Amino acid sequence: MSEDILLDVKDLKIHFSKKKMFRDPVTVHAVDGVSFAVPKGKTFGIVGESGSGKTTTALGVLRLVPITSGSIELEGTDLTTLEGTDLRDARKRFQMVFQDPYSSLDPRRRVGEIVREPLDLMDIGDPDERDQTVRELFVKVGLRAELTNLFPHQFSGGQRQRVGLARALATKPDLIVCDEPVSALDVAVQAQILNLMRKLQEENGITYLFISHDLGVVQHLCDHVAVMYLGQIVEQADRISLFKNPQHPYTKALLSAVPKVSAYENREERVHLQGDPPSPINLPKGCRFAGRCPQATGRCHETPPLLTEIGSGHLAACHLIA
Amino acid sequence: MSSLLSIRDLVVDFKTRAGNARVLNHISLDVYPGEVLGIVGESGCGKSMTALSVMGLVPTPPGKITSGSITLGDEDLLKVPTKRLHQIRGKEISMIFQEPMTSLNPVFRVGDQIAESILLHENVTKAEAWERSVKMLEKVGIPEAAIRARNYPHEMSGGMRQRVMIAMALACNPKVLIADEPTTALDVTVQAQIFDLLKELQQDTGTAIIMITHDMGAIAELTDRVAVMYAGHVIETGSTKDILTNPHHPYTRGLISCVPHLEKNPTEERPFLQEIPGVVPPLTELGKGCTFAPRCQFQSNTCLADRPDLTQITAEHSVSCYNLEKVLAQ
Repeated sequence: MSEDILLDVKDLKIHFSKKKMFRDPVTVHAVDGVSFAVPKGKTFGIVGESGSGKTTTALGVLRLVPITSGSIELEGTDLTTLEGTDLRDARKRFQMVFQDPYSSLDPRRRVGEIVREPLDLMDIGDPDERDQTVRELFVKVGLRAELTNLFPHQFSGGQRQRVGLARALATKPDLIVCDEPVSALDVAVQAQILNLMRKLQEENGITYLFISHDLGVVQHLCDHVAVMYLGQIVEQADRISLFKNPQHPYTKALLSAVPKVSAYENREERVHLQGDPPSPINLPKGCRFAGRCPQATGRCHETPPLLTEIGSGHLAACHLIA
Repeated sequence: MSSLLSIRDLVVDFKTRAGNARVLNHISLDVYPGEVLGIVGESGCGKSMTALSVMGLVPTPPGKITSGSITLGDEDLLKVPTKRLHQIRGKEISMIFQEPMTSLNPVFRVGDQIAESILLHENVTKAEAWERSVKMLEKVGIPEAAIRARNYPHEMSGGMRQRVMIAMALACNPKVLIADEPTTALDVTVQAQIFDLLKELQQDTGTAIIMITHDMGAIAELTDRVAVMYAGHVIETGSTKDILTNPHHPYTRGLISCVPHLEKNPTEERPFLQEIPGVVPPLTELGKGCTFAPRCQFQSNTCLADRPDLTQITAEHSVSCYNLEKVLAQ
């Protein structure tokens, strides 16, 4: 790729171990060898069902969970080895927008203070001018500047998510990690926030790492998409290639499972998936999707497939794709 | 065809600190035998409250059914004695709730929970009821049903629990099944399984389904007719095809076009999504005019002065809007 890479994640593994009395320790393989690169100024989407490890990947990138192995580079700086003050300084450059706008804002503080807090903590700008900066941020995310004195409960869900975006933008980050930023919002409000995110990206050249389970939203917003299943990326491609020409059986099933508005006239046959994903504790030996895959063969149950390039920039992990 | 369940001029009020909130404002809906009626709208538009009114589960106080009627067969559910309502609930009308995790009792085996409603409504022994609950579990596609019936809810996945809920709701062959956002808490692949199951069961048993959702995709997949609700009013009703291909009300149009729909052939071009500006107004401050007027691009003085009635435009399609000509010209 000729584009500048902002975030480069290589072989990221995040395992959670729990020791149990009189029993073998249990290890949850939440993220198991994930690699991807996010070009500057673009949006990289990670989709998957619950338990696929998409949120843990996001938290790993933000250094909010201990990383088992692998590397995360933000424009040449390895985030995995940073500790203490260095890590804190680096945090200016990557911020997060959370899923639930109701629980991610402190109910006892005024929204102006909430947005100002990162400026104070990171010591950005002149302390006397910070309130002005906060007001400018409010205008930027489509809120009136007078609203800085209100408390979170006085806002609607959409407005709160705007406050969350303003807080993330306060430190002028290069990367914003968004974990399901619109899934708690009503559809009409969703559109407002998605449009706002695109506008902010165009104006400020921000890069988004966008985590979602909603394929429609991902198709709309993301430039590159990775599909995760049980802690691994099973398919990764640019937006057009992935949705037009999905290769992995799981991606196909996922796409066909989405209820479509056109369905009332041709209710097309779905790729049926039986059952639920296996537990991330006792992982199957072969391909992790084999148990639910309609096309699985003996080989799929024996050896895990590797993520290989099957077209320009289109990667998939499946034995059945020649 | 005569309707199975008929809601007429239903008004439900809630007393709040900010004043009286009219949660449902003269709602009229009909459900015909064997059909799937979808109710769609944003949160707070009254779709769940409609379901709770039919079930007789409106929390009173602060809620109160002020006027109207809900007729099933020849009985008005709002007038029948509580004892009769107990007989109807679960037998004639049953409901699937949004959160399968919280609507099952964690301390009873799922088989017992299904058997409970059978025992209540039918003259059977405990053993027979248990047998029937195992059969129901089989019917909703749970493998090894006899063993699974002895499980507790926490031993099952979200999709399985929703299947148990469906088994419970259908155990007594109800005439009407109300499904209140039955798949919002589930993953898409599991959601697809549940939709397929509902369709299949509906074809087998002929139960009429009221499907409450905010997802136009789910509406397209499952329903025959749709009612669109906004701020306690039904603002448009029609066949699913009419609503999706030829929506008349500006809100319905907004609701369909503001969602990024998954396309098979995406192009490089990505226009911004169409927005419905603002949010649903608080129900205590609706004013006199059309409830959607403050957010509507077509609003005129008439809209602000007086609320439009639901007017029939074809045999099946009704809409409440003063500016249809302007809307359709766009």
